Amino acid sequence: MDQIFAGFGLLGSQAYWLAFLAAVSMAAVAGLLPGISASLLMALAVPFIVFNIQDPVIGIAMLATITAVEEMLDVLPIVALGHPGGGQVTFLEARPLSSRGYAARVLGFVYMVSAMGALIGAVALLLIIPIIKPFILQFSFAEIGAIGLFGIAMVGALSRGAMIKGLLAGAFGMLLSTIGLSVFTGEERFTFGTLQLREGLPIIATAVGLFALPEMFDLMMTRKAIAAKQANLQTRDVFKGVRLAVKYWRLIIRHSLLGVALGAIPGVGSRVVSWLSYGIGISMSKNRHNFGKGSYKGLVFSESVQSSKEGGQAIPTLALGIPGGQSWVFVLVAMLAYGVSPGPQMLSQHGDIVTLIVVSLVMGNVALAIIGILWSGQLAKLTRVPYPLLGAVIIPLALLSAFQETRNWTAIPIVLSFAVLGLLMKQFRWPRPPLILGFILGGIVEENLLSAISLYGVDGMLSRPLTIVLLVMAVAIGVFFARLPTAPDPESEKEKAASAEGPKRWHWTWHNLFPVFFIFIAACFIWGATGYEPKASSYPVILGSAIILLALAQFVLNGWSTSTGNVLDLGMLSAGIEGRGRSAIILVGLLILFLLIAFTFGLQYGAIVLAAIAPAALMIGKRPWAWGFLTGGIIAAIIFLFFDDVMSVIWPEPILGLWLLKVLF
Amino acid sequence: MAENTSFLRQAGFLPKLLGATALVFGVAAYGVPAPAADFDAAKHFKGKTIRMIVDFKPGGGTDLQARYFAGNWAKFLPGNPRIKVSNLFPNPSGRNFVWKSKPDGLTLNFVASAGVGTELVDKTAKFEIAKFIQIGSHAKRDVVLLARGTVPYNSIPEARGSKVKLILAEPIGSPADLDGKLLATGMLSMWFDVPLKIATVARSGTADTLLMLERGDVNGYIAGSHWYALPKLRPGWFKKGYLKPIADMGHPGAPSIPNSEIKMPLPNAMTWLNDEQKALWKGIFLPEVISGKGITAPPGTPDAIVKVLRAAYAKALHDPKFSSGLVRIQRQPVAFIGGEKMQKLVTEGTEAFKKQLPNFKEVRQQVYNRYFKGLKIVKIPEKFSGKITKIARGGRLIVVKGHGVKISGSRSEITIKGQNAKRKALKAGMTCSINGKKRKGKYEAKQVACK
Repeated sequence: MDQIFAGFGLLGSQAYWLAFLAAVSMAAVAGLLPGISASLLMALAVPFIVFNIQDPVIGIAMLATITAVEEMLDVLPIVALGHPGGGQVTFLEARPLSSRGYAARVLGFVYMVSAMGALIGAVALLLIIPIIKPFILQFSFAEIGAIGLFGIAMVGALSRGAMIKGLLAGAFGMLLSTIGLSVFTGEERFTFGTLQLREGLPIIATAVGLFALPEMFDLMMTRKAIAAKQANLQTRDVFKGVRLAVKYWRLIIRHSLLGVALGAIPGVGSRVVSWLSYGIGISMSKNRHNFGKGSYKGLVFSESVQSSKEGGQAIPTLALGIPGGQSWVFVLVAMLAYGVSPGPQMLSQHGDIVTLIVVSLVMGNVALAIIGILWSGQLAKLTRVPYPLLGAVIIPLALLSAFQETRNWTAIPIVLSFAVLGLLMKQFRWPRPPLILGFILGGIVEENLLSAISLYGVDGMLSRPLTIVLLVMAVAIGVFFARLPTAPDPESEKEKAASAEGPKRWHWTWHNLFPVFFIFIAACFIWGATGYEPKASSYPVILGSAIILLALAQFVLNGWSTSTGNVLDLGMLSAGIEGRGRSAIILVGLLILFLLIAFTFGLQYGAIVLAAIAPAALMIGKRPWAWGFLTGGIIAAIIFLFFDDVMSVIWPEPILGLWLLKVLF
Repeated sequence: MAENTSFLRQAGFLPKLLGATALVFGVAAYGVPAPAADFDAAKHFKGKTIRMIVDFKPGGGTDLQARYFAGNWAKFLPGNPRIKVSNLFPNPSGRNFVWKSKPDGLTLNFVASAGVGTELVDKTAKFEIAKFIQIGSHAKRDVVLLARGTVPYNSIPEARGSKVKLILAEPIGSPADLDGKLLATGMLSMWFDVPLKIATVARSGTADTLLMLERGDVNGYIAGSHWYALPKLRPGWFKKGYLKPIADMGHPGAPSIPNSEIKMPLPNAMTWLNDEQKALWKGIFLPEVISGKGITAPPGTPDAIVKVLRAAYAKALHDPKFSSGLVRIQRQPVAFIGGEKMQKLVTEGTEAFKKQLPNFKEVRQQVYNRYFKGLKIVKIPEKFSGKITKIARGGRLIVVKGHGVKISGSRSEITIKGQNAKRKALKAGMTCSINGKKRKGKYEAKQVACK
């Protein structure tokens, strides 16, 4: 007990407050800049903190604070800049609300939800540490694999209105997750012998390509601001959002506790929790057709779990020395460097550290929430800035953040290929959320289930009670979604009515190019997998076969129906806007120019030129080229100050330029 | 050069100008004249930035140590240059980059291990490891096989024929990874007939392994630097006998130092081996455990610069403040090996590994076939010969050179001393030549000729 109160005692120390402010400021800046992950920030911070802050209690609490609050401000780029970053679920619900002029309200709402979630996570951390060990020991590879399957069942929830399309997209995402080195056989799967693909498709490049760039391109093609001129972006609207959040307190508590539980299970992964929470939330809601169109409930499902999971992830880190998430690894490293042993005895031996972490988590989140709320009114006004101007900064940043993940050229073709796929999926109404969920969960399912089979055998794995319970739940929820009657959705009804009046015979439609594409890719994967050992080939072969069957079914369905289904995804904002074709051509031209300059002179110069030219090419108004100095200057500053100076990034060789030099000279 | 000349003769003024400019800049950029005898190191490094390349993503153990060096090593270098860490991944992207870098002492590689043999087993490695200039190493590469206190043996030789299986869980590394610790454990287990099972699992972080131990999924664990760090992570495990070392597989030239709870109670594993086994062990495994983390420079770095870098490295590691800070972050004692000695060790290690390369592949195959159920990393050749070591199911399955060979009653032709025979006549110990191929996923013999 004395130890716990000693932690509170440090609140009177000036050193603590300086460290706390530094941590919150660093996390705030990093949260605002796309491309800086919590892990990257922690990698930079750990050596500095460990060797400059002598008091382990303050040093460890500071790192925990950075880890726990870094994602708090992520919502700002999502709402104001149209950049989903890692928060695809939040983006799915926040962007339609921003487009309708509710950006300020959304920001207030999300900050409040996050603060409440963080509070619940922090309290849970304090209460659960002494008793958590038996719970965590129950979760082996088999159980985590089963949770992954449970998540896969959520694909059904995200496929509402177009079940086959959703399942197909989900299976395709899972198939993509098989790219890379098989840890079970040491074989390189579908890497074309490329060193850079050994670790699989880069998650940020894939997600940015599939989710972020299509939205940005779409907004660029509108040539307008995200929000209309008459949108209400006053600070008082931010407080309306805060008050609205409080009304959802029951949901916030429910999903925050879910976040704590999922965060506390090592191996589940931060990226999965929002999707799981969203899927569970949808399945427990009555009016499911509101999701994906700007639902505050959807924001609660995503954001409460995101902030509370940090408290959850701190639990195994402190109680067992098992990092709950990627950035908690660094907290553990710092603990060991300070000579602090984690374990269930943390409360009795190092209660001061636990107390200070809990207090810092709460205060850090609350501080950022207050800062966010107070600034939101002003920041939300960014949604009134013409998007070609915002996009001129955000698109090069998105490309650079994809590169930052791999530090080689591979990221660029990957991010652009997925951007094309994402745009086509948006245009032809195919849901992207199941694809990204399948991609995230695919590896978790394969790796954990095969690990479990290797350790226990199939019989051993299927005789574990918790595994059985989770598997039964996964199957039940899959069946539940498949049979679920949805409340009538006016848009779907209209489409169905229109479809009923259409041709009665099967006919060819351009929409069938999608199933054909999926069949082709799946067949290539199956063909490629035949050369691998069974442990490496069985999973992609099963998935590829499922994709072919589903794609054939969709192929047939497309020919019978003119309805595209009312999928849970964002539609094209630029659809029907005059001059969209011209904007699209300009955008393609800009990207080609970017690629040419990047490959001839260097990626960094390509990004700067793209940022400098985009306003002139796409902005409507007087002297748009003048804005290019600002946008190009911002990107140049970020490249030279952050990428070059802080990160010491080695830019990839301009292969086209070197080839030209070789040919010419 | 001939191509350049012909181009300049044919082309117009602009390309000529560009060509000349490129040539001038090219010489300025890539021509590194060897520093003269009166090389002024302070002048060379002053105001410059040393780029320390790390082969891993930001945040791993190697990256954190490199960042520690970046913040604290500069003051030991003349001219107090700035040091920055650059990450290039996946491994061996960093080594590939440093291999082609300008040898001016301003690009260095902060490595996780000596990496002997990498280019011989990984086709993506575009370098010759022995040609890198070694600045030095500051950490041992410990490999200690630990077992739960409940297993009835206290060392590998004691485990011979035991009925209690030693169960480990590890992933298969990349082709570049020699899987040294697994290979070594497998070799010892084969030679001493230890009942070993290696489950292939997706993760092998220490935290995951400790959790598996606590859950009872496994009863063994191959520790590296955690031989020292474990008492901090799991206080009392060694002291109370929850875990015990059963093999010290580190380099015999650098014996294990006691951790904070126990002394290493065992002699180095090499002392258990016969001459034939020792030769294999020296060539296949020891090169990988020459050293742990250290610094290298590109090949061709002038001697004067190398001398300065090596001296600064040695000075830093002998500085009590610097090395105590390093111990905090690397969680094992500093084990300094100077650059010259490292260069010799790496050269000798590479030669030894090259000599044993065919055996390495064969031994790896045997270990995988025996301990990784259903896993075949190296394809079984169509023809091979060796002694039958195991016979199962009335001769339907035989094991030769670690390869499982299916013998069909109708498709396999068997001869013993030139006479046709049936499969049940095959006996363990016979030397046989096998000719066969894969059928329905299993290797099946077409011809088996035994003596």
